[in-house]
Amino acid sequence: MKFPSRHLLAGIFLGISLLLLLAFNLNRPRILVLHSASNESRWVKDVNVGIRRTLATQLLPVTVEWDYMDEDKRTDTALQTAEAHRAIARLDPDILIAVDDEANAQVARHYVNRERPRIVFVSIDQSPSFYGYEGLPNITGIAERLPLTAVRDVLPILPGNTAQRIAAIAVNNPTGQAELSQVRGFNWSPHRLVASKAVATFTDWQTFVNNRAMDTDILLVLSYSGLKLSDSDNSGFADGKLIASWVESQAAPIPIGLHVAYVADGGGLAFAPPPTVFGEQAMAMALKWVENKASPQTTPPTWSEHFDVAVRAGPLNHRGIKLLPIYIEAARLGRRYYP
Amino acid sequence: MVLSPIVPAGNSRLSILLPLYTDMIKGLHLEPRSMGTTALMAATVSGSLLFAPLMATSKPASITAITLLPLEVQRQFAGSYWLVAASVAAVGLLLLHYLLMRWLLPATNPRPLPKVRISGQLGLLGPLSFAEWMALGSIAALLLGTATVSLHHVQPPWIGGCILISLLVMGVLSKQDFRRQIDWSLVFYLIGADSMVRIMTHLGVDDALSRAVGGYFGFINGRIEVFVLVALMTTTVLRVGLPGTASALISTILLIPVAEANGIHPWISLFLCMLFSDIWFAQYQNSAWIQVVSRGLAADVDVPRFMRYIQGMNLARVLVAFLSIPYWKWLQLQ
Repeated sequence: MKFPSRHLLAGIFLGISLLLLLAFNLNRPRILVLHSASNESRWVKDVNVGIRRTLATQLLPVTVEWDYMDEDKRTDTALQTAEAHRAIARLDPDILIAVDDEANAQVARHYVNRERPRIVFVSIDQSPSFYGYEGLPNITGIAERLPLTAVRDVLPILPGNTAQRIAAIAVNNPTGQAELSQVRGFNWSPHRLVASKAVATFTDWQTFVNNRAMDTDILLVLSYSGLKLSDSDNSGFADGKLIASWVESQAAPIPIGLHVAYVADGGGLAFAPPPTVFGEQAMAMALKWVENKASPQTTPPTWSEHFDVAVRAGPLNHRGIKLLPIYIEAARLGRRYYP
Repeated sequence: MVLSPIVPAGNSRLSILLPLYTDMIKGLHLEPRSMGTTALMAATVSGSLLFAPLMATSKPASITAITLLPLEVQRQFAGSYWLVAASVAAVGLLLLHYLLMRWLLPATNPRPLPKVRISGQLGLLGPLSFAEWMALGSIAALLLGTATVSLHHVQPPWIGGCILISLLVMGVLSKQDFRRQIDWSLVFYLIGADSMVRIMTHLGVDDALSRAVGGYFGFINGRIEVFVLVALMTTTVLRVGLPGTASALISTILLIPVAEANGIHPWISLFLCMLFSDIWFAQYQNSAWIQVVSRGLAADVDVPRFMRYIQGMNLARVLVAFLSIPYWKWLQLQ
C-alpha cells in the first residue's frame, strides 16, 4: 500500500486534531455530583439549580456528571452505592461533590486517604470529623446547620406559652439522626425540648405525634424522606404530601418544618437550610479547587448561615397564626410562599 | 463477533455473511440439505445473532432501550462494561453453541478447502488498497476507542464522529458514498425508535403500562430467579404477535420498574429482555431467517434439523441467564 501524497496535509491535520481532542479531554477537569436522594426529590432539584447557576457563570470547561443513590425511594441502597463506586472508578473525577449524609457515609468517606478524588461534602448534618474529614488537605465542604435560632426567634409570636414545650421527630436514618442531634444540643432557653424521636415508619410517626397532644406546644418536623409506611417488608414509602397533610390536620402542637419540602408538601411554616445556596457554594468551591490544582491546600469546611423561609397561608390561618410581614415577604422573595 | 459492535442489526450482519456462506457452499461442494450445509447455515445465522444482546451497540432494541435506564447507568453500560456484565452469558452461549453444533449437526467434510483457488482469487484481488487499510484502521480505532473510554475520557459519539470525518477528509468516503453507502434506513429506524420511546416516556405511557401490569408481579418478592422466569414469559408471549425489536422494547418498559421495585439492577432487566427476545419457535418470528428464506437459501437447508438446533439455543439462552446470576451478585449488580 502506498500512502497517497495528496492526503499528506489532510493526514497531518487529522493527526494533530485528534491529539488535541485527546489532550483536551484528558486535561478537562471532571466533577461528579453524588446525591443521597433521587432526582425526583425537591431538595435535590433545588441543589442542582444552584450547581447549574454557578456553572453557567464560569468559562472553565469542565465535565460534570450526576449520580443518585435514591435513598428516598428504597430501603436498601446497596445497588446504588455500588453504582456510585463504579461511576467514580469509570469517571476518575477530580472532585466528588457528595450531597447529604448518606452519600458521605456510604461512598465519599471511603476515599478520604486517596489522592483522587478530592471531596466537597455538602449539607451534612453530622460533624465533618464524624466522617474522618477534619484536617485533611483534599477534603472541604459545607456542613448543614439547621436554622434553629430562626425557629427560637419565631416562637414568642406563635400562640401558646411564653416558654414553649417543643418536640422533634425525624426519620430514622443518618440524616434524621444527625438533625435530631443538632436539635437536642441546641440551647432552647427559655423554651424547652420535651421529646424527640427518630422513627422508621409512618405508623410510629403518627403514634409519636398523637402522644404529644397534651405535653407539647411546638412540633419540629425534621427529615421524613425515606419514611416507610409500615413495618411490613413490602411496605412502600410514605409520600411527603401524605405526611405533611396528616401532620397539619391531626397534630395538636403547632408544626414547624425544617426542610423546604415540608411546606411544598402541604405544611404551613418551615425554616430550612437553602438548597440552591448549597449547590452554588459547593460548585464554586469545586471550581476554585480545579482552577488551582497545581497548589493544593487545606480548605477549611464552612457552615452555611443562610436559611429559607417557606409559608403556606391556609394551614396557618386554620390555626389562627399571624406571622410578621417580614416572614411572608422573605418567603415570597424566595418563591416559597403558597397563598 | 467482530461485526457485532460495529454493525448494529442482526439482519445487516447476516446480509454481510450470506455471500460468504454461498461462496463456502460452492467452494466445499456441499450437497443441498446435507448436514454440512445445515451446519454452515446454523453457524452463519448464529454468527449474526448470537452476540446481539451481549454488547450495547449490537441490536437496535438495545440502542433504543438503553435510554430507559437512569442516566448514570446509561453512562456506565454504554461502553465495554455491558460486555463485562454479560461475559458469563457470552462465554456460556459460545460453549453451548459449540456443543449443540457437535451434537445436533456433526458435519464432516471429506473435501479439503480449495486452497489453490482461494490463493488465486486473493492474488487477483491484489494487496489491500489505501481505502481498505483506512476502513480496517477505522474499525480498529472504533473498537479500541470505545473499549478504553475510562482511560482517555473521549465519549463514543465523538470517536465515531472523528472516524467519519477522517474517512471523508481522506477521500475514502466520497460525497456520493456518504449518501449511498451509509445504511441511512437503519439510522432513521434507530432515530424513530428512540423518538417513540422518548415520546412514550414524556406522555407517561411507560408509567401507565408498568402500573397496569406491575400489580401482577408482586410474587417476585425480590427473587432474581423468579424475575428471570417472568422476563422469559413476558418476552416470549409478546414475541408471538410482535416483531423482535417491538417486543424487546415493550417488555423492557414493563419490567424495568418491576426490577427496581424488587431491588434488581435495571440493566439486568434490560439485558434479559434483549436476550430472550432472540428466542424463536416459528419461522415467521425471526426476520434474519425470513431473509434467508427470501433469498431462496432455505431450500438447501435441512429445516427440521436446523430448527432443533435453534430450540437448543433457545434453551441455552435461558440457561446462561441463570448461570449469570452468581456473577451479577459478585459484580454487585444484584
